[in-house]
Amino acid sequence: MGLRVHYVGRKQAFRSLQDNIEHTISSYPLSNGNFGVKGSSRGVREIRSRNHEGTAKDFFNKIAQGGILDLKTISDGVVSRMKDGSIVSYRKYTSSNNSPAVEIRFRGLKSKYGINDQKIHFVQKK
Amino acid sequence: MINFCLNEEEKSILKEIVGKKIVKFRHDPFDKFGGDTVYGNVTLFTDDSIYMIEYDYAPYPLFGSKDDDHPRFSIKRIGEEEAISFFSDVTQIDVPCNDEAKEIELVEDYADVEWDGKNDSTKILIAIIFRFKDYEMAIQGDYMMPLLDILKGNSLKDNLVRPGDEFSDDPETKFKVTRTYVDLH
Repeated sequence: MGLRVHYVGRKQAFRSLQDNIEHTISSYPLSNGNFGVKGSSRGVREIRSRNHEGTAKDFFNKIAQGGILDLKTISDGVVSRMKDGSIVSYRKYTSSNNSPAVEIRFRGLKSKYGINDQKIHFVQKK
Repeated sequence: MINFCLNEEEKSILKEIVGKKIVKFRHDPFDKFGGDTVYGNVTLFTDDSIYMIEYDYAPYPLFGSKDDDHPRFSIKRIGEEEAISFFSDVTQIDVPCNDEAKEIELVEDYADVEWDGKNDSTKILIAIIFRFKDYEMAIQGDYMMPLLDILKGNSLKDNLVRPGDEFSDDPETKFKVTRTYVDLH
């Protein structure tokens, strides 16, 4: 009997990030390969919402759906590896301002499906 | 300027390893990320000491940012009980080496960066190269996540990420990068 593999989402099979784009874009529009809006820091995008922690989890669950989920960091985050080799991480706390962040990293993959490597901070809308 | 290079104390700790036999390395298994990539740390065991090369997020105040972070190398001596994974559910593996580190070289990128009408600069440690008698081993950091590539072979300088990898995909950022090598032998 093999080890049971856990994926992001219920009853999932191993998926590529490409499989999740359409579903994610329906809730989180993409502009020039980036989600959210330009943040106050270079290289950081922002998605603002009243429930920023819930939004961060929802975004991660959509973009990383079907990624292998067995890597829980000791600092309250998870790292998901997708079938195509891309990596999506969710951090409940960042080292700077404690807002959640999701990072999407293709790391040398030739096709990024029109999405840039990016870091997205989830900020509470006041 | 943002300085994400090793400080003098850390360089001095790393320099201790030159001339010592590295008995083994300890890091996450390679199957987690594929290729030769691990997360967060690599530990070196010599006959008399244990050294952890750590790569973890640190605040990154480029252009005065208060909400960005970036992985950064650090070096420390540790006890064996501290040589564990960043992941709560991963058991690290020991990889035998048994070779003497003849030289250690630091690969550092200095970048002048222009963004949003502002100018700033960074100096970042990109990789640490260990030279043994017949081969080299490089530990290279990813610019976004605490991922470490462990490369083995010869002339590894030629196989590292291009200078400015961090900025090259951003059309809103102009940059000029100079790569330098610091020999610790």
